[in-house]
Order: sequence, then structure tokens, then C-alpha cells
Amino acid sequence: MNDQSDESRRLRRAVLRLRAKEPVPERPSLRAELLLAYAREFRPQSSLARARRAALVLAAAALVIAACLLGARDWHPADPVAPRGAADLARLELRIDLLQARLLVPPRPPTAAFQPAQPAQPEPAEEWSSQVRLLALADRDPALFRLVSARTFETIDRQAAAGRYRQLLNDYAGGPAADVARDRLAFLNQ
Amino acid sequence: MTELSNESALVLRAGNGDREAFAELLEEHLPAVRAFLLRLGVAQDDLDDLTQEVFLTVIGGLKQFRGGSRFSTWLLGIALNTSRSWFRRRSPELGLPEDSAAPSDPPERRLLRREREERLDRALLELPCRLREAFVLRHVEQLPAAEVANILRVPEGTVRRWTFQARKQLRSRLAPKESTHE
Repeated sequence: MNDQSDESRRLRRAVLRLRAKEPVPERPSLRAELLLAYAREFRPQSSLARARRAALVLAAAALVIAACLLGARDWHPADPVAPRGAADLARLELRIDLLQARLLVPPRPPTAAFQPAQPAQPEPAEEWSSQVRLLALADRDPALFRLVSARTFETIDRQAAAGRYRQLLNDYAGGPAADVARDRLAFLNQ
Repeated sequence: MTELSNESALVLRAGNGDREAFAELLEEHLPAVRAFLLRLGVAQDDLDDLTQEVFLTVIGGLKQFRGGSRFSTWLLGIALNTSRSWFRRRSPELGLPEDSAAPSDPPERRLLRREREERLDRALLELPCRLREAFVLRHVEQLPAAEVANILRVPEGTVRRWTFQARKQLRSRLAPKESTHE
């Protein structure tokens, strides 16, 4: 019992000694250093610094957006257009051949409705390759040019291609190019 | 309550860049932090550097301090973490204190006092870190168990267990040689 109370007394004394421990006087510059650090941390930002910071944020955001767009352009793992590109192109060329034939037909006289239909003229330049023919035609016809351009866009960005077809339909609603554009749009919307 | 709300207002002002408010916080808490670090066993030579480290952390965190706990609780938590890093970096032997006896004391009395202080510091430093921290906070700083639990981020029951173990270990460490001087 005595041992226990001795131990307790010793412990109490130890605690009192610990409480009484006094640190050596602090470094005279300690508070000034801390106040300086505080002032540095809470320094008000100048308008130039704020503008620079805003510009940096904007530039970073623009970079991120550009990277996302480029990524979306370059990578189409599930794009259904790519595997069917060759067949589609063949179909389009066929349609363009038909278009070409229709474009080269001279306008019918007003009475043509009561006459038997004129046979389509044979293609005038069999020796042209389809590509050259297409380009030559497109060069002469802005609607066709935009059709070819929209078709080319299909392999890059389907949404953008659909937008171009819609624009084409809007601008050339009644022309033959509009028929093709309508078909392509229907295909893209499937 | 008023004291608490005054402190909260002071901390809020300091967090908004009020230099005077921060100077007041320093005035009030810097000596307490130095004393606390010393009682934990930090060497006198390193007190200022560690105190500086503690307050630099405070400066960095003032904007984020939401007042979820008392400022002093938060501050002691930072001081504890800083002391832990110090203990990891330094050998505990280096934490032993200098002679704190008054120069006017007779030499034999000074020697005796020095020996006791050394034994106490050694006993404290030999305690496991958690037990030492709980003991100093609860019995030397005299904080309520709930606040110690908040600082150490453990349940109150754990604080009670740790302080009990610390007292037990200290008693046995202080007993044999103390008795020769009593």
C-alpha cells in the first residue's frame, strides 16, 4: 500500500516537474519570420497576376478541348461507316453517274410531258476515270461539290457529314443532288 | 463561450488575411506550442525550428480551417505531427534536456535535480510514442480526455487505456533509482 502511494507521489512529482519545464527564450526573429511568411501567403494578388492566372486557365482549357476533339477525330473504334466505306463509295459513284447523266440531259421542252421520254444520252467520256469525272462535275456544280465534300466527311465525322447534308438539302431542296443528300442523311440516321 | 467565439473570430480574420489577427494568434499560442513540444521531449535547440514548422503549416491551412474543432486542438494536432517527424529524424538521446537548475543552487543540489530530470525525461522518451503523447496531453497539458481523443483521432476509451499504460510504465521506470534519492 505504501509502495503504491510512493509510486503515485513520484508520478505526481514527475508530472509537476514536466509542467514546470520552461523552454529557453525564443529566437528573437521567430515571430517576425512567421509574420513575413503569413504576409507572403496572404499577399493580395495584383490585377496583372489575376489576368495572367485567368489566361493560363483559359489556355489549359483550350488545350484540353483541342486534345479531346483531336482524339474524337482520330479514334473511331465502333464507327460503322469505316467497314462499309468501299461499298458505300461504289453506291455513291453509281448515283453520281446517274446524276451526271441527268445533269447532261438538255432540259425537256414544255410539251415533253406528253411525249415519250427521251432515252438518256450515253456517257460522253467513257475514258475518264470515275474520280476525274466526279471532280470535273463537282467543279461545275456547287451542289455536287458539296455532296462530294459531305460524303468525304462521312469517314471523318458522321455528325458533321449529316450536318452538311442537311445544309445542302436546305440550300438545294429541289435539285438532283438533294435526292442523294436525303438518302445519305437517312442512311446516317439509321 | 465568449472566449471560444473570440478565438473563432480571430481565426476567421487570420484566414482572411488579417495580419493583426494572425499576430494575436501567435502571441497567444506560440509560447504554448514551444512548451508543449519541449514536454513531449523535443530538444531545446530544435524548439524554434519545430515551432516555425508548426506555424508554417498553420499558415498554409488557415484558409481551409473550417472550425470543425477548436483552434488550439487543431494546433496541437499539427504540433504532434511535427514532433513525430522530428522524433523519426532524431535519436531520442538528443532530446535530453539541458540543466534547468538555478545557478544559485548549491552544486550537489543541482546535480541531484539534474539526475532526476534526466531520469524523468529518459523514462518519458522511452515510452511508446502514442502513450507519451496521450500522457503529456492528458496529465501535463491537462486537457479533457475528449479533446485528447480529438487530437489523437482515437476514441476516448483508447485515450484512457493509453494514459493508464503510460502511468503504469512511468511508475515502474521512475521507481528504482528515485528511491535512492528520496
